[in-house]
Amino acid sequence: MSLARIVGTGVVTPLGPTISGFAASVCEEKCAPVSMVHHSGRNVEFPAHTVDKSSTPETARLPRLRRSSPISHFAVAAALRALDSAALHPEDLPSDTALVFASSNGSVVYTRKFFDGLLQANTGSGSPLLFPETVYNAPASHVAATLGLVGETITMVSDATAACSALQTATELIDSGAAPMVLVVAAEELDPIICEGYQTWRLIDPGGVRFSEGAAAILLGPGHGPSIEILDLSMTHTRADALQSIEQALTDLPEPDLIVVSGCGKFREEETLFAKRFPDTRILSPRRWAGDALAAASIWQVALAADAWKNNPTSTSLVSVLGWNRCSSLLRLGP
Amino acid sequence: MVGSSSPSWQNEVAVSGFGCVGPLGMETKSTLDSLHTGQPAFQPVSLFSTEGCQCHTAAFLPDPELESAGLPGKTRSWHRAARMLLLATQEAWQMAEITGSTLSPSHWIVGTTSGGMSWGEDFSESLHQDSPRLNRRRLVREYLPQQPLLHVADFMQWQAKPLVVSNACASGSNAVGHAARLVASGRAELVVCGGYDALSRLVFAGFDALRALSTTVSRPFDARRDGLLLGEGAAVLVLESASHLAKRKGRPLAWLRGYGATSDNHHLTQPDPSGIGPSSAMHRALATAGWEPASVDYINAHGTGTPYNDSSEGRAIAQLCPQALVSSTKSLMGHSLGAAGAMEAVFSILSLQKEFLPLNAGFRSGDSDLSLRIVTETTPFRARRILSNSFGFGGANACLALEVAE
Repeated sequence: MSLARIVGTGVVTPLGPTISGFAASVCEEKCAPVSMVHHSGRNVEFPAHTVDKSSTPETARLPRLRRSSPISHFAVAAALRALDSAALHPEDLPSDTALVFASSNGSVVYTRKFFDGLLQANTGSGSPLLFPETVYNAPASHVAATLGLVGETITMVSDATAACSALQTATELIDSGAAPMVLVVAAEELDPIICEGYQTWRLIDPGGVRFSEGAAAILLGPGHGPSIEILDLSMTHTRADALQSIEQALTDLPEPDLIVVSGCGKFREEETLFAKRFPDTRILSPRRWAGDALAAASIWQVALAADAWKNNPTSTSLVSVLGWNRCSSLLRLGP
Repeated sequence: MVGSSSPSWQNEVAVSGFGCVGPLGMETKSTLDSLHTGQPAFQPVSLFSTEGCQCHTAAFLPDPELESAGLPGKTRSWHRAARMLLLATQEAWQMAEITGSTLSPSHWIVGTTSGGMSWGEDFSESLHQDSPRLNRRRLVREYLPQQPLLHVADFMQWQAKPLVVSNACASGSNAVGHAARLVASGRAELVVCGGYDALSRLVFAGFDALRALSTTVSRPFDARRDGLLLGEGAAVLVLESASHLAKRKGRPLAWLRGYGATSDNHHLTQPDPSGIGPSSAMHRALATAGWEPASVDYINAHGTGTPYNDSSEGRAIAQLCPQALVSSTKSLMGHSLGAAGAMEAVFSILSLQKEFLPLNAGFRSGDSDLSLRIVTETTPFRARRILSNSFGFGGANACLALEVAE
């Protein structure tokens, strides 16, 4: 069992800026508004759940984010909200607090713009303003700069389980004594090229996945909050194998008070599995109502479970993530 | 100074195998020969058009060489980055003498900055053309940065926790450092780690747009330096606890004694000129290793050849380890981005094993305000302790401390 405790949470979601509002919407099965994402130059559009860009007022005047894409604004806003929920100011954090950032797609808006610029100009040269923001760790860099963190910063990339890798890394940093506190942030931004990609991957079929964007942050450290335990983090050969990996991790587990799954659209294998194993436990599927924001949505799941713990500190929750790239993870939050 | 809380490591971390593939060679032996020869591997870029760029040169692995590497047919559908990663992994696993056993690493930790970016470019371009969707599906899947790890794990039949680290140009060092920390803290016994990156048009044009690429030659730390040249490749290390290695009667090739990682918030692409970023990472690596700065014999520098990086890093080295000999092997094979940290860790181990220091090509005289002991010729030298530095966009700083295995 890790020494790490969840002492703060913050979210940026298409269902609003607070964890309580997000949790209420998910519990009441209220769906976020649907927007159409257009791909200019192509006659295609995709239904998606987007975040109102004015819903992160705390980042609007930050000089560091002047030229940043939405993902960085989301990440910084979620981080600030997590600190706020822990009643901490950035200067209260130990100087060697670590930051672990996770994303599946990174700064895809600027990456697409930069490359489109290359194609349109038909030259080798692109925008020097856009390129630095395209690196996967750009949002982490902006979070660190905003909070004044000078300790270790690490960015992890994969399918939705990247966020679980980030949480595992965070607990390892705390348990090994390498960092006294760790801020875990995950963020995604929507872009038509992402929708095109996932459609090509046959995830956006009728009844398939509706993608979304946003961020979430978890502050881990000593203090009052639920514990977090990584029961499974696997890389398998097929999505069915990944589900089986979660199933194996469930062996001998007592019945939890809440289960938060990653399934959405027509992909409901996890719900079926958990309903069979724990028929009396409530199952929440936040991606059904807020859309699939990949790694960010995985931390939404953890934030939901942490919020439930607040109301009942003896409760345990399971958080299950089945990624699109045959990775799986199972986490347990508890006393 | 940050880094006061870096705890010493509990368990010894042995490097029991390593492998690399890149412009200096298809495996370690030919790479070692190239390091000895000291001939830079740069050539005109032929993988994509560089029209409109100021720079047209890089160090890369021509496709025919990769095709002739003897990889199995099933890898033909993989991105070239994944194929490079497999080659380096196979060599490392074989060197560790684990091949054929049923052992699997508990973790598989790899750094990259851009995954299979060139196929992402192809996908983007294909949307404006009438190309078959079947191809697009492969492009999307293989573009993902985790895909090479999944392919290699499948191929090696590993059941390992995958971690993809993307800390810009420090990614490879962060992956190796994090893996070492898992072993050092007793959370893992056997971990495979490394880095990979393949040259792509987008990344090349990006560095060119920033005017970070040299229009002359790569000459890190030289007063005339005018930028970096890009490279590519993959490097992989097998890390084990000393007890695990002893149990299976393996032998350490080197010891990984320390790791430091910090953040520099000065600017997204420029380091703090004071050198505080590199210095703090080196301090942490020294603290975990329990070394005095004066005991460091050689530093394989990040040394990109950009005015800002080399000035900041040089300042940190001059203040912290003025006695250490220094060279940047990027002067020979370019900056392989996510692979660089792991690649340079491998080069550092080769220096320890083979008792030589690789040269810093193109160096004549350094900045007037910096006094560094730059290695200008391949030098026979019995180094015992080496630091390997890596720094990246976003202020990611990493340093590995490696020691000779007697």
